[in-house]
Parts: sequence; structure tokens; C-alpha cells
Amino acid sequence: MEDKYSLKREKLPEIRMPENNIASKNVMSEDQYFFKNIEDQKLFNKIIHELRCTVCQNQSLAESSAVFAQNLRQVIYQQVQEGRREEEITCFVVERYGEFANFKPPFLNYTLILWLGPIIMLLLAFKFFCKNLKKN
Amino acid sequence: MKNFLPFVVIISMCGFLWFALDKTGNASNAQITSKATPSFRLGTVLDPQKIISENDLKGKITILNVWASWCPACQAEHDFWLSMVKDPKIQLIGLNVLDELSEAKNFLINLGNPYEFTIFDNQNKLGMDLGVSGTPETILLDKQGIIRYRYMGPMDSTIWQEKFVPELKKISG
Repeated sequence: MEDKYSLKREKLPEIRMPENNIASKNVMSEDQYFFKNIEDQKLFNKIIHELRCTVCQNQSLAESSAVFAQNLRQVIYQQVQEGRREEEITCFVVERYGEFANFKPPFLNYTLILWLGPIIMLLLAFKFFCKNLKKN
Repeated sequence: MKNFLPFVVIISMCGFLWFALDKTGNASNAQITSKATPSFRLGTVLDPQKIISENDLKGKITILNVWASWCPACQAEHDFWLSMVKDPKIQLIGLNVLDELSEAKNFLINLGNPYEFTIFDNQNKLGMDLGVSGTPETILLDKQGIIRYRYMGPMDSTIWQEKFVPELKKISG
């Protein structure tokens, strides 16, 4: 049986070169994180996959090797270790970097179309499909 | 008319999507502006014992240039800051992030020091509170220390004239 306080190692991505002109010092070794329990490890993993690396092109924090992403991962790791909840940590990041940092846009007035658009499109497509089926 | 309905719907959807993505998709606009400088207490690169706080960024319009010695784009823009004509109403402050003190010092000694002082933030605490996600980045603060504008990427005279001069006029007027 695994001890509650046994150390669990979380390995993060291999080195990649920066893709834009905003400097991103590369991490020369893989980050290693140690967790008190599996729940913390899962929470950390979930958060870094749902947040965007703000200096890279469409990479999550988990995928990025930029030094700023590494720094933010470290802060998130510390907050997870302190027992902060997922919402608190996400809020901390969004307050500083804006909604852009969040891969999952919130359900707000200006994002309604992002959430409902695909459903409306699907309904319209279904309607046209039925109409054409009747015709044929 | 009925035949055009699907096109009208698709074009409207594209319009809404463009609007929504534009609102959420621009990193520099999404980051904090119109907010006060967060409180901090940090030393400077050339004198780590000299403690700087948010109050040192008030009283004058402040150009806060975020840089690091390991960043090639920061070296590329450094000549622009060195050549900038000094204005007594504006203070140019450096913010060195995620760096080694000795490397940061050497950067200023070897390339020249255009800053009144450079805040040393090797943990990127102030940088993160300011929403800095890369270097170089330049942040414009008004006399009250409120963030008015920010630009990610290396600065040059074209960007300065096009982006910063109009903002400076707005806050000094």
C-alpha cells in the first residue's frame, strides 16, 4: 500500500525551441514536481493542461518549455501544495493574464455564441437534411 | 430569398465568432490595464540593498521596460532605449525578471544603462502581478501608477511613435 506522504514525481515536457520573437528562455532540464498525494498531482495536471502558455503559439502550460511557462507552473505547483482549490488557482492566473490564458472560455454574454454556435449550426444542418430527405 | 438563408446564417455566425474571439483572443489587450501597480518591495540590479516599492512608480509618467539578460530581443531593443531623448516628466524604469543578478549587472555595464533604476525581480513576482508573460514588454503607467498601455515585443522608433506617443499624449493632456 502506498504511503499517503510518499513522493510522486510528475515529469514535464521535453525541450522545444521558441517559436516567436518574444524571448522565451528554454528550460534546460525537465521540471520535476513532488506531490503529497495523487489528488494534488491530478489537480496540478488538470490545471496546467487547461491553461494556455501566454508566450507560445497555442500551447498549454504543460506543453511549453518557455521560462515564463516554467515559472507559472512553479507558482501553480506551490498553490496546489498550499491546498488551494482549482477555481482559486485559475482565477489567480486569469486575473493576471486575462481570459486569453484560459483554454476553456467562461459562459458570458460575449462568449454565448462560442458555446451555443455549434448547437445552432447542428440544428440548422439537421433541419436542411430533413428537408432535402423529404424532397428526395 | 429562401436559398440565401443558409448563407446569411453562416455569415452572421462568422461575424459573432469574430467578435467573440477578438474579445478573448488578444493577449496584450486581455492582460491587465487600468489597474493600479501591485504593491511590492524589491531591490535594484545595481544596488540590491536599495528597496523600491510601488510608490517609486508614482508622481511621474513611468515607462516600465521588462527585460532579461538572456533575451536576445531585449538586447536588440536596448539601443532604442539608450537613444531615447530624456524628458523630465517621464521616468524610464527597468524591470529585470527571471535573471541572475550578475548577468543583469553585466548587461547594464556592457551595453549601457538607460534606466533611472532597474528593479530586480528574479522570482518574477512583480512581473506576474503585472501580467508580464514574456520579455521584452513595455508598460506605460500614469502619474498615479495606473497601467495605461502595454506592448509585448521589442521596441523601436516606429512602434514608439505609433503606439506610445498617442497614449502619452492622452495621459499627459
